[in-house]
Amino acid sequence: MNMKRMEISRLMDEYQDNEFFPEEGSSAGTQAVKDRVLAQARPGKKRRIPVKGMLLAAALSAACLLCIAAALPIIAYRQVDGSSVLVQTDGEHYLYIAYDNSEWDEPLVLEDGRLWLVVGGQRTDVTDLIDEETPFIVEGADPKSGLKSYLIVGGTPEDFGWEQWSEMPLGGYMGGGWGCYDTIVTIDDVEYNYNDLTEEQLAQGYSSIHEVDKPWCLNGRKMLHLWD
Amino acid sequence: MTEKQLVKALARGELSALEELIEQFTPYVSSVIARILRGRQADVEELTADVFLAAWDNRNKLKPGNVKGYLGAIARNRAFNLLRADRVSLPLEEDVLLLETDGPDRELDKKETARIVNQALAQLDKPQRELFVRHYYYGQTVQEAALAMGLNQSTAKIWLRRGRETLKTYLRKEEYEYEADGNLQADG
Repeated sequence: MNMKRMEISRLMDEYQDNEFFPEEGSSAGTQAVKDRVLAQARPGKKRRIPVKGMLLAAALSAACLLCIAAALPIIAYRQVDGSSVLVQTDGEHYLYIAYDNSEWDEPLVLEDGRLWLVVGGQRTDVTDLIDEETPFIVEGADPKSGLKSYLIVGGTPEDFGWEQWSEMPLGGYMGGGWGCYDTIVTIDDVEYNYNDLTEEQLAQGYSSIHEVDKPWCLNGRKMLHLWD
Repeated sequence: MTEKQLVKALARGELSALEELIEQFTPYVSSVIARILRGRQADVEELTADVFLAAWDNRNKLKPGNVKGYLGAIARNRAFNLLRADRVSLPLEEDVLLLETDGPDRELDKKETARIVNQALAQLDKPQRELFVRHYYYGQTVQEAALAMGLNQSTAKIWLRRGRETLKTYLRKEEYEYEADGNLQADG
């Protein structure tokens, strides 16, 4: 017969209290905590919404973006990820482009080490379907216009992201994503991933910065043949 | 900003959302830590910052409705780990359970432990569960917890004992079922 010794306080490490909370009373200054945290926290991977200049430049006039003709309608085109692209054109030029994210939700989420694709209210475990090189693509169409959108997801539970391409009413595609590229900086002629920089390197500063698309993202675009 | 919006903004990696998280929850997080560290005020601010950094690094685990619980769990664990590292004994009433076991010694993984603890605590009525959580989770002394709940210390000690027995029952049940499965496999 063995005697097993277990500490209750250690067992309670796996408990999460959402029912009782001790009385609050600040013991640390909020600003002091904020200063400490923000000095160390790295910014997250930003959502990039690049406009593919070579596709839209012919139809897009910078001056016209600022000029919204009240008589012309702004049309919402539904995307795969639940967002909508709001577009106003005069038939030849884009007068207004914006995103409506009120019904958008994260299309790729990490839970308990597994990656879940969440689209149209459906959840699919795509962990074993994607990796650093291999994307998974979801295609959708706006119900009224039939304009297509394509969601590319890829990566690993440690490093994942998504990118969406939206077919535009005057032709071409507009895209944007999250976690679909690495930010590379150069310090003393050596390239580093921005997220791997130490405090000392951040303080040192970098001489150049550029973005490199992730392999799964590039492969996904190739598979779509949107620009063939 | 609602909690749902905050969680989404954190998931997108927005530093402004991290600032909002700090503003909303610093009083709670720091009070959890201060309660456990007792007089080590110099460590409270540093550990509080560590909690938010840990939450930021794991922001994809945050879910609307459990942000406070998640932060509290990190805060508590960090504070207790600091005390353990300094070999400070915790002012806890009978923190150790002794289980008799015939089978091979095995470690429970985090999920199993969480399940057993939650099942055991669900068996206690709410005031008893609250006392157990105040003492074994937040590290309040029996005297502090009893005073906060309007109990006398004798009653509090009896309630804590019931909580320990319930937890022990569930742990024993887990060991028994594991051993039984093992025997079936051996015979099978």
